[in-house]
Amino acid sequence: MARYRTGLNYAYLSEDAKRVVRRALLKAVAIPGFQVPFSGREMPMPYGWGTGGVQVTASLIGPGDVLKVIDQGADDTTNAVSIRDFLAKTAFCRVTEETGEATIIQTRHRIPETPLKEGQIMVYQVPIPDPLRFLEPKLEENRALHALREYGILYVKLYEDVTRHGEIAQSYDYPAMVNRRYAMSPSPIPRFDNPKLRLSPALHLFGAGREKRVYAVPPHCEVESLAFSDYPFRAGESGHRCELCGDGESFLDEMVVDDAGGRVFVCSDSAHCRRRRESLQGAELPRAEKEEK
Amino acid sequence: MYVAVKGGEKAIKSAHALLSEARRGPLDIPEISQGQIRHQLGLAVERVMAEGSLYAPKLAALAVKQARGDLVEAIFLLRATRGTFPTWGYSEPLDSSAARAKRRISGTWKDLPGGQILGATFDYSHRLLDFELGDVARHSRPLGEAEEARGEGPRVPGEREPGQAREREPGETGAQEPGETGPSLEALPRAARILLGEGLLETESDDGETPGDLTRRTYPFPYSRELRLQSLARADEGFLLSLAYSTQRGFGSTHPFVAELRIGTVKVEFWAPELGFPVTVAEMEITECETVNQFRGNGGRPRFTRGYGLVMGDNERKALALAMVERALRAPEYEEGVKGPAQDEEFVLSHGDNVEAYGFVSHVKLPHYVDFQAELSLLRSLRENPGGTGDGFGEEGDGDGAL
Amino acid sequence: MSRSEMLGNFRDLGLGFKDPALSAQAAFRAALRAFAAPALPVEMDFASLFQAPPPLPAEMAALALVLADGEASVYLSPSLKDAGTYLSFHGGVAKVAPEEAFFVFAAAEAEAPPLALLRQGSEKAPDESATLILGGALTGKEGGVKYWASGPGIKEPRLWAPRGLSASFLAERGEIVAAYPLGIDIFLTGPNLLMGLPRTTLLERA
Repeated sequence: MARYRTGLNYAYLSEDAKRVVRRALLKAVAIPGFQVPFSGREMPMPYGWGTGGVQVTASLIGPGDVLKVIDQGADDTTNAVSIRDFLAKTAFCRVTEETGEATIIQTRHRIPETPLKEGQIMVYQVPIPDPLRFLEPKLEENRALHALREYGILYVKLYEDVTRHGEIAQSYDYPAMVNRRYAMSPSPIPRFDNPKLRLSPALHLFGAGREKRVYAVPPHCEVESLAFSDYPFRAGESGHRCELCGDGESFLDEMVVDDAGGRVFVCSDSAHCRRRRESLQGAELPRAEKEEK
Repeated sequence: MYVAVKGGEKAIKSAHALLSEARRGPLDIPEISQGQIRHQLGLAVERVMAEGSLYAPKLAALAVKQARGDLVEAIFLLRATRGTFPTWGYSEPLDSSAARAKRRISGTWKDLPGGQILGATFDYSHRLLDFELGDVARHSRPLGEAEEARGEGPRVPGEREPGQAREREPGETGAQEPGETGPSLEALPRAARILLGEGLLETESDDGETPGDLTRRTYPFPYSRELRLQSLARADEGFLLSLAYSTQRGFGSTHPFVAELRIGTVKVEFWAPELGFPVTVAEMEITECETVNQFRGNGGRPRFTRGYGLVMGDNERKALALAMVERALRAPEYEEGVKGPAQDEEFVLSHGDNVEAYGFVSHVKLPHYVDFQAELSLLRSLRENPGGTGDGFGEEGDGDGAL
Repeated sequence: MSRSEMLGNFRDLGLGFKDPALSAQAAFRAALRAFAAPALPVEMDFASLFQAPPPLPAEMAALALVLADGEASVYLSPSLKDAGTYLSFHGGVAKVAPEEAFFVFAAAEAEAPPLALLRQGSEKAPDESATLILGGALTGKEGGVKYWASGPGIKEPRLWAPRGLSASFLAERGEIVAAYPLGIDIFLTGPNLLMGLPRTTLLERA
């Protein structure tokens, strides 16, 4: 067995373990949105901290890949740093923060703002793979509902939102129909990111380690966020601009800056924000509106 | 500003340095060795091996040390290590009746063939702190007493260590040999056998199916009995203990009697196709518990039902709780109806793994500010434009499904 | 078994991947690309992944070692049968009947078992279905019929002229994948070539 500088197998997983994930991934791509079970292994990081994504990435990655890892959209969040280190060390591949340069992007909770390209692979860390889980916790019931394409309970939930709140009150992990067949949890990305999945040129792979499921959205695949004709899906926008780069279209994090409730908004996608700042250097920044409270 | 989470590499490195310092503690106190942990905190090591699903005392002792005594963390370490090992094959079924027992008790009989063997147990000890054990520099047990308890003569230097049993010759009876840690269980017919002879206990037979392997495949619910036992064998001891307790308090009662609880050492045999016969590749300690439970069979010929628990290592509390929960999970088989959580297979088996539970519960510590931001914006917009009936407050969250 | 007999047997077993991890990784990425962009041949020097030429076409040997093992078993069509020992030695691959196999390797259409015989999964588990790896299908004679391929992975309908494949084979496939999500997925292979036809790819005569 090939051993590399860490004394571990290449990309940590044993070849047996990779084979299991790889088989599942091919079926996942062949049946878009269907959750394929696989016998995952314990990873050296806790369940819930990205083990599914790491197993998927480790089964894909080669020395020629360029890896980007983000958490909450940012490359420098602690868990992103920790996962990137682990993969770079065990797979000795190049790492980057540039979305356009990456061949594999592992993510938790976001899709980058920079449009993805043909040939890129997004790998999502997924906590609860089934969009039906919080409506029906039993696995076998859910499998049966998916088999029958019986998604009534999902619509009922959305409809209850409408009657209670006047709109669909699901701000993240917003369910979507993949290739007109399977309802899918897009992992808890904000619904702002859902439209980026539709007909995306990139391959999207979702890994749920603890739940031992993988699923996929192939490139150029129909992904339709669930909605009603009179209450269509809205991605939503923040109504603010990034304090640092002035972007008014990206997903923004709110930062509390003082004890008086003063707030500013900055891009959640740190690489996108940095690039904009670099390209805008010298030019006047669009004015960011300060929140007064 | 809340940028502390964006600490990155430097923060992680510092955290590791502090962890390492905290693990070692004050330098004027001698560092604990793997051997000390293995032999003096043995039950911690046994639990870590059972729930870590890896019988490797030295590695488990290292895990306990590395985890600063946090056993769930140590279990996680051992599981992660296990995940890097290739699987060569499966052992032959263990023959627990050929074990060397160090403890064997039955609650259903006052006495039984082979007798009750108390062994090293906390039972009947008064739980008073023994201050003589504290900070001793001298040998902390009177020499000779344990040897006498085992029925051995005084030890002479150069003699075989107790516990180092000699190999049994083929065809040799299980009668106790001097130097063995206990009588062989061959001399101890299973307590259950007594009831079986009278037809008072349900019989069990091998269905000939090759058992599944939860660590290699995923299986849909409901599980077969052997998969259930596998899952329970690596489940969290505390979780099983509480579930077993819940059945005793009426949430799915099973009226258990402990027919037998035994702790002993068994041989692990591996059938090598190149050789054409099984070879002993290891020896391991196991704890096995059989319960006899409420009888069933209306009118006809009622029989006791049974529960079973098998755990790696010396894990008596776990084996007992396991057997009780195992029996509770057989409720559908006996058409008893699922009335308590301990009888709900998917609930019990999906939540008993502490490595999964530990990870997922603790991941809530990770930043979730993107989803939180999305919720915040939504909530603000809902409050600004109340469009619905407005009774949605206090609604259950979508759960953080969120990773 | 004598020592020399044993060594003799080992010699028959040949040599596997050049690098168990990296060769497998490269082959898998080619396979993934083929499924993610169906009806488009992926070129790759599969032969270079091996220490010595394997006893079956390199692209097939690579897929077998990357995907199959004792738990995901294979069927080998008659002219590939002899490679069984090689695959079981280098990959722990188990051979079974076509209707049980998860990976069905056929050297050419003429040797392929009837598609209806293969595992197609169930409504609850459409993934428990066969993947057919079919050789001689990218370099053979053009069948004359052309198809528009569309579906996930394909941006604009793609014109495809199959080689070494009959229209009746593709019609048979069409019937099976019409039961979507049930179905079978296909890799067509040729020397250093791989093309994916997952069940979602719709083929319409041009």
